[in-house]
Amino acid sequence: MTILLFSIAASLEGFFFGSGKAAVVAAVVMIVLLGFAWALWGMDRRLNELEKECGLKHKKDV
Amino acid sequence: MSGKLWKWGGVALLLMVVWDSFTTPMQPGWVASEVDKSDANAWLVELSAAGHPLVDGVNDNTAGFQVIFKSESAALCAEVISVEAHKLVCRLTPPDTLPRPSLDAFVMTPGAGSLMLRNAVSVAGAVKGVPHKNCEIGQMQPSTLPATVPFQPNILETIRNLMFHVPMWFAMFFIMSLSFVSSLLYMRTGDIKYDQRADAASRTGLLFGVLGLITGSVWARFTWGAWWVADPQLNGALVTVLVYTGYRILRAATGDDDRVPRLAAAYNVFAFILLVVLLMILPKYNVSLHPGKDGSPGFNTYDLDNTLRSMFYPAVIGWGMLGYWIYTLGLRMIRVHRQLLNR
Repeated sequence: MTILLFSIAASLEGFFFGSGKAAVVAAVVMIVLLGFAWALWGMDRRLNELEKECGLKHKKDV
Repeated sequence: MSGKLWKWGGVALLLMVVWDSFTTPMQPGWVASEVDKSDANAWLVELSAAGHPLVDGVNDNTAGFQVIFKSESAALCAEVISVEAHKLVCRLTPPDTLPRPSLDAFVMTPGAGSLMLRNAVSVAGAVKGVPHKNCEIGQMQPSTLPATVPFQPNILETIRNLMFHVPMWFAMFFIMSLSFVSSLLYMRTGDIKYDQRADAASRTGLLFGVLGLITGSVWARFTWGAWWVADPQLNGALVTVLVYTGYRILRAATGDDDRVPRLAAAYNVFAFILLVVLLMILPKYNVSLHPGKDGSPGFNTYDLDNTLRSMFYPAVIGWGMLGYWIYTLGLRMIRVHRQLLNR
């Protein structure tokens, strides 16, 4: 188990941090998160239009 | 404008958390030891480290390193032979008498503080006896490295998942609390807007519950060696998610019956009580692998340091804000849908 943990830790060190790939992974996760937020924003805008069409006021939630 | 601000503020917090949690190095720590006992008078002990490099490059640079092996009150100094980025080799004169047949390694480093490895060396042949002391232990050194996440045995680099897994459950609790309060208000007032809120919140809460299960399962695979273990906390989380799935099925299956909101509200109150019992009360009374379950869950006992706190608290706020945004969108969709149906 210890050897397994060490091999995982060592490979992470060399592959993930040692070579600077951590920054690439972080950037990819950030882009995915930003894309998700953008999709939510798009949904938000379309809902605004629908609410106007339906005559619904944008009520304050909870 | 303020509506835009809090939504994008939450996203900005999460972006900051993602960047920090992936790019902040881990404090070094020992993960394994290997002992060469071919020379009976001088054992070679090789300690392997993970995390931030002990020294830059691979050149030997033993200055400032001190290795001490301890067995209860007995302390033995070892001679440092070489230090590499993630490896230290030292020479130890095997002891004749020891209080217990193993030695813990304490390494004073010039930058990373004092690093310890329990049971680094097994001394099966030593006679149990009065401990002899041949080495003075120096002052424990604090780490002077720039921001690092703490080294935790077994958890190692996966500690970064703390910024995802735990805040997702917090967000789930927050959203499900909204759902619970809305159901109570519906039962009291009969106002349909509260039922809509409970409906929207339960959807969002369920989403975060599933995300919490997935991130927890991945974490368990790397730290406990299995995707799922029979643990009261894990099973409680799964049952909670299944109970809320039942709530969704109940709402979907009963259609537009006028009795649905009242039935759903009663079920939702029951589901939230079950959530509190299964996730917060029962695991405290059982042996659990999950951290913080054998006592009052104070964050200090979770080995959070200031670097982790500076990421963890923004993560809790960020995931909470994102969850609330998703909830408001769901609520508005339900309102628009109902409005269109009533036309």
